[in-house]
Amino acid sequence: MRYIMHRLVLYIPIILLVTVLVFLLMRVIPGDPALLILAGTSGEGSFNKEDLVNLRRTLGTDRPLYVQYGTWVWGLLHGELGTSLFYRTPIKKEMGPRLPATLELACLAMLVSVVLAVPLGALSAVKQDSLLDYGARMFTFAGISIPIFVTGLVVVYLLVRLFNWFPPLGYATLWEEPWTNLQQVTFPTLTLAFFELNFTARVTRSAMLEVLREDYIRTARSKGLVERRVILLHALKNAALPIITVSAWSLARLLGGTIIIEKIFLVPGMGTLLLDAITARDYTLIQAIVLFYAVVVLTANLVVDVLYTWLDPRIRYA
Amino acid sequence: MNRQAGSEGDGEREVTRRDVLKTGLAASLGLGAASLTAATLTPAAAAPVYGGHATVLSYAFPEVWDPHMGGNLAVTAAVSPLYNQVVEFNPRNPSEVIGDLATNWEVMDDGLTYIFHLHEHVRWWDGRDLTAEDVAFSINRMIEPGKPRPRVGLLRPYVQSAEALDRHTVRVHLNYPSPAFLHFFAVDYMKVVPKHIVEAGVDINLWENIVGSGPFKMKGVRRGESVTLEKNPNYFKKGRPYLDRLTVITITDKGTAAAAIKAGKIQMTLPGPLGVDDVLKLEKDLKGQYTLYWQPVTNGQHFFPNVEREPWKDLRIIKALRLATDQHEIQQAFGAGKYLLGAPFPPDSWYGSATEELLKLPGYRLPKARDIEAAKALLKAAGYDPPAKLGKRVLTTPIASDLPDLAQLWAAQMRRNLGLEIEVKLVDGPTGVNAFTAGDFDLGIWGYGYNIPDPDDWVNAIYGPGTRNYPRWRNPEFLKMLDQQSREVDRDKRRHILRKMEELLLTVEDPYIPNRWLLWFYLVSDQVRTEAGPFMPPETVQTVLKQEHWWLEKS
Repeated sequence: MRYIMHRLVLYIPIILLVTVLVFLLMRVIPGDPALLILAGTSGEGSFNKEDLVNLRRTLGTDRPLYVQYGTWVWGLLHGELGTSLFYRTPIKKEMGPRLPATLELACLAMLVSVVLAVPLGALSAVKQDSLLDYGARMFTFAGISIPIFVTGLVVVYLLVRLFNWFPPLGYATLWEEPWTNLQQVTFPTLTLAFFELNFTARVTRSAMLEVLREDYIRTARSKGLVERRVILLHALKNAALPIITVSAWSLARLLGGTIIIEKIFLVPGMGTLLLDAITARDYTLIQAIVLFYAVVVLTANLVVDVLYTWLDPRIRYA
Repeated sequence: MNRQAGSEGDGEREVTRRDVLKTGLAASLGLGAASLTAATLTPAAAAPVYGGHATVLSYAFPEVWDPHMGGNLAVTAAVSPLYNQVVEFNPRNPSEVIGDLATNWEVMDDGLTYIFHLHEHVRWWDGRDLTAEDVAFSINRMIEPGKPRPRVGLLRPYVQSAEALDRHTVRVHLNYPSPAFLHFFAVDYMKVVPKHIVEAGVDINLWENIVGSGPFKMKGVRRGESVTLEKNPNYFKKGRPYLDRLTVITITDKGTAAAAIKAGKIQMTLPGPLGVDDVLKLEKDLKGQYTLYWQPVTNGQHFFPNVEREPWKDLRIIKALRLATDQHEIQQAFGAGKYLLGAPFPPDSWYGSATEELLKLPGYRLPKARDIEAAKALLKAAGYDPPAKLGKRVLTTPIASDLPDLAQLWAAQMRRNLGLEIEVKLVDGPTGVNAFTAGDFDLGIWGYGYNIPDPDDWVNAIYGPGTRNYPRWRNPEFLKMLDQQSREVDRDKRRHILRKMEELLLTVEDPYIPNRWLLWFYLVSDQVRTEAGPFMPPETVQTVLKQEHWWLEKS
């Protein structure tokens, strides 16, 4: 418990740093939300200077930066994410309906990638330098090399080209319309999982190769244990630590991947919301989403830290 | 023909034509001919099919929901089906203006007063009656001084005020008799909004607060993705709309958009995000399933300087750059041969030069060498010998469509033909527009898609006191003619004035370097049917967007 509390305390300055970085970053990049509201994202709207000044005042973007930052952080401390600058709606209301789609995609992709990557990596290690190992290494290397948006576009292209099929438009949640939801998330999930499994498989392979050379594996074999028990109970369990370490990082990568994948497959999740918010320079919304991602990633790291202590009790006493 | 729609349309046409003819405005408005054409239409459509869910592709998600605050097609595409206008362009004959809320209208005082008679039994979604008070309130709101009115503000030069005469009659006072007024009034931004809601302080710029009267009601909104509308069961036009549900979806990625179309998920595309090359390929791939409909040119694009700044105060310099611009190369590079030559007025339109005429003129003719020499001579006369003495110029280029590519090509032409150095400064669209509006630029590139084909829109916006005269060019002689033509109700006389205006631009001075005229397109499923048969593209992208006039044939 003390260990967890210690980790939690460490996260406070990290969160603060994230708030400062995202706040400043948005103010540094060119663009003005008032301008975008008046001119439209396509720049077609007409307005005069007075309109612009008035709107900046209404939005509060004309105030000094430290005042804007202070107001935002004060709101956060009171559990208020604020209001979208562009649409003037509560941010909670904007993010709420988007969360299930992104979490569903990220969690499913994580599950699929682990289920496929760990056996693939383990087999590759066990059958080192075999045809299977070469095949798996080529597959994973290619997977790591191909950017996720390319994979996404290729999947869309192939679905239409080969099957004249595109996922149904208009996202449906799993509990509303399970069949539609399944059709909508299957291919984005597989694309994301492909993006992630290669990395996890390579980590699993190298961790397994290391463990398989350990004395205790040799001992287990010499005791006459069947190979499956050696691999699953002795080798894989001891190789799990680096795999779990990367899985927290995987979640961060997957959340990043959802941004582009949601856009390609038209899934209305947090990723598309973030992209739209960036296009509209919706500062408050961008800040809230990035902060949310940061909290999710930190929480995943915390879970991993706790798992460490369970898998390797020595960590608790270190 | 569908009975309800036909009877309603017939009634409107007769009265409209008679009234317009009676006031002597028919020729200038072009409504007489348009009405006759409409009257002789023989709809080829079979019986309409009710029900179904159609998806229309839009290039962007609406930034605003208040129709009077709307500035672009993304807004009207989503908002138009929710409200009504007083008049609208006829979906079955897109150049004709017919009544929407108006059953008919009278033009009085030599065109200075319009009296609109409204349909009875029109209801807002909240059950309140839509009356003349709402209409008068909305018109006065459109021209309200000091408020941002990106498109509806087009009415400001024409409309003095509006008032309700009784529950179903509205009188509109004009500043001067104008052949363009009714056409502007029929554009899809000119929506009637509920007076009782707006006056109660409800922000109709939030979609949740919308109380409309239109053929569709709001069903749901997914920010950045789609707007789903459902049929208004109490719509005052019996038998309309045909669709049960309509989704206006935003897909910004071309590949995804093309894939969704190929899989039959989208029944109609509005302009963007697909380019000409994309739709031509899709048309080929989807032959027999989709048809590509082209609109006449409606969007002119140009390079321009800030003529209030040196060295551009001397318009000989911009003329030199215009002469050195290779229009033919631009034509070859963009638009798959579909775009027209850049010209002051829309080429081949009733008031613009014909393409054949343009091709004989300096700046357009071939070979180019002669014009390049003339350009150098002009620059020399202006004190820039060699032309590089102009120094490095900066071309502010909004990142929109293919403008960055076009800007690069032009900069290369100027380097090649005159030895000029032009730096292309890329900015996002709104930043670019802000720079143009504030005069904070050296050279710029942008364009304007007009709302109606009437020259009062394009010429006023670009060369007159309109909002798009970014070069800040003021030529008294030109402005005098602009005013004259705007008030001229005789179409031939008006055309004569406009031809003189274009001649001035082509031969004396023009602050722009027109680079091309774009034409938009609609890729439409062959399942889409209207009362007039297959889909008919409207005259401009800002019209006929209520989507109440078409249905989906069952496949």
